[in-house]
This record gives sequence, structure tokens and C-alpha cells, in this order.
Amino acid sequence: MLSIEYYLILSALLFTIGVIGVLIRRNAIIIFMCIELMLNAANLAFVAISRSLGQVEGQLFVFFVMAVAAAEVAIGLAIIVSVFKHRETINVDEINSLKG
Amino acid sequence: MPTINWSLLMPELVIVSTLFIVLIFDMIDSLSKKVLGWITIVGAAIALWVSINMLLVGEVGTEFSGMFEIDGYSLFFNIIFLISTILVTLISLSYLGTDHKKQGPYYILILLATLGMMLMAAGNELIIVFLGLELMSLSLYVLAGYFRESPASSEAGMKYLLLGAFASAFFLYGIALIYGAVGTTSIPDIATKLNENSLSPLLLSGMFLLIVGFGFKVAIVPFHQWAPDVYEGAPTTIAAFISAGPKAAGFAAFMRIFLDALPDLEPQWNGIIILLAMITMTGGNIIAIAQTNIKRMLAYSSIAHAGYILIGLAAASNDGKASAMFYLLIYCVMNIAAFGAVILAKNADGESLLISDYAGLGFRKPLLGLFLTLMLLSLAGFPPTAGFVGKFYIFKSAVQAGYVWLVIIGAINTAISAFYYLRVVVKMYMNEPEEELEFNPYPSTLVLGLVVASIGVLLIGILPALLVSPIQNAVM
Repeated sequence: MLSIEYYLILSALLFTIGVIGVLIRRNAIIIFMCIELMLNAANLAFVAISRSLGQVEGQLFVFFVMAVAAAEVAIGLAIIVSVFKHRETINVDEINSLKG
Repeated sequence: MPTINWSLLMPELVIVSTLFIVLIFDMIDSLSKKVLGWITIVGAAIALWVSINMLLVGEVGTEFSGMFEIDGYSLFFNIIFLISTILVTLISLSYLGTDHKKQGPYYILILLATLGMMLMAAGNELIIVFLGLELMSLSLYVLAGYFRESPASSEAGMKYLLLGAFASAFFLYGIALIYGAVGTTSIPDIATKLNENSLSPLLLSGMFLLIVGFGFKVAIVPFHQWAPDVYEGAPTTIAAFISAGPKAAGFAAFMRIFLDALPDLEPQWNGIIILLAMITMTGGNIIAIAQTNIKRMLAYSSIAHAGYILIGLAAASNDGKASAMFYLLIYCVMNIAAFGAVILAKNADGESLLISDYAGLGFRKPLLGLFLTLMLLSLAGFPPTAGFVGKFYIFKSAVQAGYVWLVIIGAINTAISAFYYLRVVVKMYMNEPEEELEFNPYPSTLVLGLVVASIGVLLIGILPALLVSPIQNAVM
């Protein structure tokens, strides 16, 4: 079995890719996918840690997180669609009527 | 099979039942939808009454194998959330107008968000806190984008969603790292395990990520960028709600995790919190001066207020915690009422949101002038309002903890903030209006909400002892 460090490094890498994606991509859907990647990085860490500690809790948390992520996607896509109806774009740089 | 003491969960159960009643009544077409708002108010009032009773009787304990902690702390936060919910529902009754389709989901989402906040305050397990946070946030994303036909509201919903979900991911990863470092996510167990274990980089990075996650949720500089945009675009009642309850809930979980689970890391987090408090107060107040839109001004003011509350957390004592709770209660009431007064300024064309529109309103709409002046004075911290007492206790707890210079910065900030609050008051009473505006008559429920809030703000300002001793008992 690989040691826990490898899993944590992979999860940290996934999380970082997600963060960078949120910061540099301008399409709302892609930003949203990057956020999901961050959540899944956390899930990977939970599962790996739970396995190495021999506990079951960490794996249970993953189910909760997956349910939350699914709810977030449902709401997120609905909101993005309603923005698209007004502006015909989901580029976050062009959706900037609120500022000051 | 462990038995569950349901009476401990009464406030939460009342909110859930109210939610289902609203859901069912929403399906009856012949019913006037105004009833739904009143059901929400009655349900929240019952839950409030139950919470106050439990707090006075001292009915406390843990439930669900220690995952859920009902103590004075969580009960007091329940009171803050429920008062916010009642006030927001009162100001929403007239704001939503007569559009029938809109009313049901609106109140259901408000109740769901309230339930999420109560879970956050009572969560004794990081995962419960996360679930409460998500329940609250997901409801609020929808509420921020609730007026789908308005481009500004949809945009506010999207911005809140993207940044809120981003913050939640940081928060969750922080939990995962702390779980990895300590091997448990239960708040009391983390505290005991930390006594034995030494610091690990995993734990410290987990702590930083939690600060980032909470920083977004309670809008502290430099994680505040979403707040002004969301407050401006969201329906005004929802802006009032987002600025009050969720901020209190964020601080409830923030203080519980940092003071109860990570007290041994205080040397590590204290400096960060103090730095954040300073830049939040100063940044919020200075940017607020430049605002021309009153909702944006109130947004930056609410950011600055988060900075004052952070001083209470930085003091890291029971007194600091009590003063932060006291301040949060007062802040929620006066901020919702300030937004309510902004709704009162609604004219025939829609809302007057530019500060220049308020010229001469003090005499033309005396009631609006009175409410807005009182709330702005309280936000600025003038005696004899509650805002003054709240700031006094926060600063006192910081002086006792030895942060005199932090209090000096706080006091300078209070002076800066007085400038932009008073500017609106001066505009209302000293300037002549540029054009005659048509006004709608005052909605009675909105005025009722504002009267209740004003009485509260003055009463606590004159007799702070009413609240101080219950809070001190609550945190003991």
C-alpha cells in the first residue's frame, strides 16, 4: 500500500488546480467545475486519511459532501441559466453591471 | 439504539414544522399568500420564545452522540437568528407585493437558511458545521437571485454562488486537513488531542484554510469583494438578511471552532485575526466614504462592523466572546432596520438608492427620516443607542486582554465611520431635493418592523444590563 503522503499530495495538487482554474478561467460553468474539483480533492483527502487511520467516519463525510455538491450544482446551473437569459453570455468579465 | 431528547431540539423542530406548514399552505390556491409570511413570523416567534425559555431555565446538553451541542452559546445565537428572521419577514411582507407565485418559496428559503444557521451555531462537529453552512448558503444563493426578471438580482445570485462555493471548498479542505492532522472532527476531541500532539504543518494549513473560508462567509477584508455587489443587486430585504443572520452564524461557528477546538493554537491564529480586524475595519470604513449608492455604503459598513466583531474574537476570552455576541445581536437589529428604512424610501419609480436622492427626505417623509437617522447613529455608535454600548463592551474586552492599540485603531475607525453615516443624515435634513418625487404610502408591516427595531435599539442603549448578564451566563 502506498503511504498516505502520496494521496495527500495528489489531493493538494487537485485542490491547487481547482483554485487556479477558478482564478484564471472566465466561463462561469468552467469556474463551477473547478470548484467541484476542489470539493473532490477534499473528498480524496477524507477517504485516504480515513483509510490510513482505520476509521469509517471520513468515508461517511464523503457521502455528505457529495450530496452537498450535487445540490450546489443544481442551484448553480439554475442561477447561471437565469443570468444567461438576460445577457446571452456566461463570461464573468462581461457580467459586471454591479460595481463601484 | 440511543434515545434522543427531543425537547433539547425544540427550536429547530419548530422551524422545520413551520417550513412544512408553509410548504403545504403554499399549495392551497384559494388562500391569500400573505398568510405565508405571517405563518413564518409566528413560527419563528414560537422558536424564539422556546429558545429564550431554554436559555433562562438552563436546559442544555449534547445530542446525536455529541455532534450537536445545545448550550447557552448556541441558544443565544438562536435568539439572534430568529430575531433577524422575524424582522426580515416583517419588512418582506410589503416588499414582495402581491405576486402570488413568489411568496411561498421565498419564506421557505428564509426558514431553511435560518435552520442552517442554527445548525452552525449548535454544531459540535466540523462536518455538522459544514452542512449547516451549506444549507444556509445554498438557500441564500437562490434568495439573492430571487428576482429572476431583474438582471441585477440574477447577477448578484451568480456572484454570490461562485464566490460562496469557492469559500465553502476552502472551508471543507481545511476540515479535511485538520481531520488528517488530529484524526477526529469533533470539536471537543480536537481540543483534547491537541494537548498531546505537537503542531504539524497539516494542522496549521487546515487552520489557515478555515480562516479563509470563514473570511469569505462573514466578509472580512481581503475576502470581502462579493459583499457590495451582492448587497446592491439582491432584493433589499435579502441584502438585509445576508448582512445580518449569516454573518452572525459565520461568527458563531468561527468563535466556537477557534476558541473551543483550537485554543492551543492561539499564538498562531491570534496575530492573523488581529491583522484581519485592523484591515477590515479600516478598509471597510475608508471605501464606504467613496460610495454613492446607499446599499453599497451599508455593505462596506457591514464589512467594517465584521472588523469590530473580530476584535472580540482576538481578545480570546469569555468576555471577548460575550461582547462579540452582544454586538452581533445589536448589529443584526440595526442593520436590518437600516435596510428597512431604505425600502421605506421606495418611490413610484422604484427604489431611491443613490445617497443624493435622500436630499430633503427628512422633512418630506418624517418617519423615514427618523428611522434612518436613528439607525445610522446607532451604526456609528453614538450614545444613547445600542451601537454605542456594543462598541463599548467590545473595546473593553480588548483592553482587558491587553490590546490597547487595537482599541485605538477601532476608535479612529469609529470616527471615520461617523463621517459617512452623518453625511446621509445631513443630506436628509439640510439639503433641498433636486426634484419632487412621488411616494407610495408607508406599508404598515414595514413600519411595525422598524418600530420594533427602534424600540430595541433605544432600550438596549439605555438599559444594557438587560442583555449583559444573560449573555455572560450564556458563555460561562
